Amino acid sequence: MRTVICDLPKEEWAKFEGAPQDVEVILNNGNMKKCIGCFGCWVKTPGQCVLADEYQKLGELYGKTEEIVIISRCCFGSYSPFVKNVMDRSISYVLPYFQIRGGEMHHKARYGNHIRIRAFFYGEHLTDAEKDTARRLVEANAVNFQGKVEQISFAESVGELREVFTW
Amino acid sequence: MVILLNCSFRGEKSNSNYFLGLLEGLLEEPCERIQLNRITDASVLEEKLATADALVLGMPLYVDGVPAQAVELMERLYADGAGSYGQLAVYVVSNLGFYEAEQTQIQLAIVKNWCERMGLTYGGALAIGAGEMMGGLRNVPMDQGPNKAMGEGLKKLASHISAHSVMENAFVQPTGFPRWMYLLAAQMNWAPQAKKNGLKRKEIRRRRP
Repeated sequence: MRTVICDLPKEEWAKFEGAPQDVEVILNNGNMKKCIGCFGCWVKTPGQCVLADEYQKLGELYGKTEEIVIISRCCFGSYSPFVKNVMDRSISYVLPYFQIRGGEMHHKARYGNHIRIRAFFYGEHLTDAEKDTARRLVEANAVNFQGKVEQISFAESVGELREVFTW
Repeated sequence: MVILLNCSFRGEKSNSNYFLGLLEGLLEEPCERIQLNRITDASVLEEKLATADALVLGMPLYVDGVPAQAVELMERLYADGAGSYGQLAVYVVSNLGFYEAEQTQIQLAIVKNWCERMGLTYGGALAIGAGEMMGGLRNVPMDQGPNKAMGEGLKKLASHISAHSVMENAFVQPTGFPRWMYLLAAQMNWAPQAKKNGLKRKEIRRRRP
């Protein structure tokens, strides 16, 4: 299956047509709690965030996901606050334990899958530095989640993004 | 005036706040420490920034970047006041659970990009690797033993803040405490924490559903 993490309003997302059957879409319901860095998803309710809302089971969802599609406003080279919060609350996907990979310390995997990642950023007048930072961020996330980056695209507007977006 | 903004949602008890406290102790300028998780009205912070000389962001590394709540604040400050705080120099004290402090470089680049959009001076950062360990060594004098490099880094950062000058990002690890030893210690740390919550060691690896 595929997971889409998207910061657009529901009606804007609805304009992205042709979605396959097996897609789970994570949208902003306006009430998402913020990650408090408590590590409860590692030592209290392993594999699941302790904050009770509809974003509690992201790690479990990724465990059965083949591809993650990220659609985010680019904020200074970061994801938007909503998409970043989704990422921040996704660490139950990995284990607290460390290992050395590529000469650096990273987390061990909880699940055995390797997710393909495609990221679509939008925003007016993004600088080269911001685009470079955003690319490095997606690549680094892929390393930490033991996934593989397949695509990173930038668009000036949501309309332009729809044109470059393909399933 | 130096504003020290703790961006960790763990608040006063967080390692980020502890590191900011160490820095504050080295600064002669008047300082004000603010907890991001207690800000209910960003305009109060904006008023303070309007007359401050420096802003120091205390930041944990969250999934390779800036914690969501801090990105939200950066956006708000940008929307309200890009170009308004030309006198401000922005510094970062970053920390992370991984040993290699260099893994904060993307986070620091995001702060630098934000400074450029805002028209602020990015003054540089001290990034502290093995932050979970360093935050637990609060009884060890700042410039001794494993804290030596961190203490030197904080002093250097403090001198640049006082001089309102720019420094290269600095990356420090526990002095004399190699990565393999930290990795080993960190591995052993999780089971006792899980046990406190009534879990067995093997439950940490639980797959759902």
